[in-house]
Amino acid sequence: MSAQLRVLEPGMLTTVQDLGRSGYSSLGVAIGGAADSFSLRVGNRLVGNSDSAAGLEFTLTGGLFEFEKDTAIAVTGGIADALRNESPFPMWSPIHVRAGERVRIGPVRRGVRVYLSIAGGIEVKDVLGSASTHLAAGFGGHEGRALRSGDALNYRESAEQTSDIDARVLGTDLLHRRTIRAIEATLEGHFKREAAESFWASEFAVSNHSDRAGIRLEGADEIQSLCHGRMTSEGMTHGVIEVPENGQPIVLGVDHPTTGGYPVIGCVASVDLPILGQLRPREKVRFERVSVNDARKLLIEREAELGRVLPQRPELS
Amino acid sequence: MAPPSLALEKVALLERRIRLEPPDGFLDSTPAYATLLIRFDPRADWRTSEARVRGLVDPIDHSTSARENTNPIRVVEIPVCYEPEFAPDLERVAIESGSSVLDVIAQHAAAEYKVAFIGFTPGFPYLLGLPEQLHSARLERPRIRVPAGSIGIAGGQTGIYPRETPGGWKLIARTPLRMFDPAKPEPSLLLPGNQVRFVPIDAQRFAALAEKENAR
Repeated sequence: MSAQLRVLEPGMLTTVQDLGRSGYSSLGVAIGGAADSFSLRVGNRLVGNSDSAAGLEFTLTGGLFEFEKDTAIAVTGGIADALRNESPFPMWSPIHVRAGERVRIGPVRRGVRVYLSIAGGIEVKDVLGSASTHLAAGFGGHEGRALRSGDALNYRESAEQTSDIDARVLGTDLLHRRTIRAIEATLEGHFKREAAESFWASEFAVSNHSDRAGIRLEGADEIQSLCHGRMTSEGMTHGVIEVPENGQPIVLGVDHPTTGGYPVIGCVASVDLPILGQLRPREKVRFERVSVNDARKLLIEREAELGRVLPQRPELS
Repeated sequence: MAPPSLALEKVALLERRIRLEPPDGFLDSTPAYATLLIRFDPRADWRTSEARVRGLVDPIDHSTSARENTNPIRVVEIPVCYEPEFAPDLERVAIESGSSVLDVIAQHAAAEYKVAFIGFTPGFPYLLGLPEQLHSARLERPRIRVPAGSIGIAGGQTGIYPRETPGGWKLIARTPLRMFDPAKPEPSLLLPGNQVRFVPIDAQRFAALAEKENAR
């Protein structure tokens, strides 16, 4: 039976997200979805959902919510306070919430984004095959926008018992790895070898002007490209590292523009894409060059680790 | 600075071939002026997929593109209003090109445009065919709010903003049409390869069409 999640305090930027929409980039629609998709997947598995169920994504602040009916929830992602009727509960573990109870999340103390998963998922209408909120275009999620106080979201009542599993180990890289693995782009005509080497050797600070569309980086040295603004636009994707004319790289986030005109120096390995969603302004990051093969192996290992801690529940038909 | 449309034809053809017979792990593709970005599932065997794609690229030349791209060309008319409240940079473009506002409008509306690709944001068409006299540099300071439907110019590029966003292109007209509607079976009003004509309308007609669009 459907129940309502009432939004008492929405937080700074709280949106409904799932794993995004694939197949519409040729219409200008980026993949979108949870900026740290790994944390959302873990949260979903903790409450017995399929990986792609919709949850809430919080940004730096959390929110206050009231549950109309019993259910199981899990909170994953950055480190944040999590309270049920004023008493703290652990993140990365499923917990039971009873009808009428209030859950407060935040502030986020480490990382940037925190995810709330509810057994059965949040029920919103799919738009272009996904429940994700596309903020710039104003569709998907809850009315195509961030949550406001007074909103009510539907979820499914669940009397299921929760297990006492602790999945904290899965969040280690998200919160602590700040040497991000990436694949070098073909430099031909875009960068001199020395410029590329200076990129791989540099330490960058995450700029305040970072969001779901991209992470702006600030380094001591400018990375010089050979293009001088004379590139024609080409397709872009999540994790692409572009170098604009000011020599300060931008790593594209889940809500990236689907085409762009800056030269590309590399692309973050899929295994480390979720880390991009947890990079906090002023944090220091570096990039480590890996081969396509190694990037693939790293991803397969990460997926195996996830499967060991939390096997995915077979989809109910 | 847009590449010749031969590159566009090749890109369109490659995309068609890939979508007809997707290589293992194929997820998505993004065409642009002279490139096609192809996304694969990173767990798939990329060597086989890469070889497949290379095999599809190599035999594409001018004659194959002409042979395979036989879709009839769709012409879309876009009503646009050039009155000052919808065209904040029109006068400046006229001054820079050494002609009158009426001349710029006449040239802009007489030209035939072709959709190179949809990019940047949902439904944003990059159009080829802007008359050379209308080429105009970007604004020195981008606007914080560009109204939805604005027709913008940047260098030799021209496009239509589907939603209110920040933007640095010069704005010379506005259309009341919705460029992107995710509820429709074909969400984007324009698709790559479409031909576009701008049809001048007055503010009254703009208001009537806008009302009709919003009622849907």
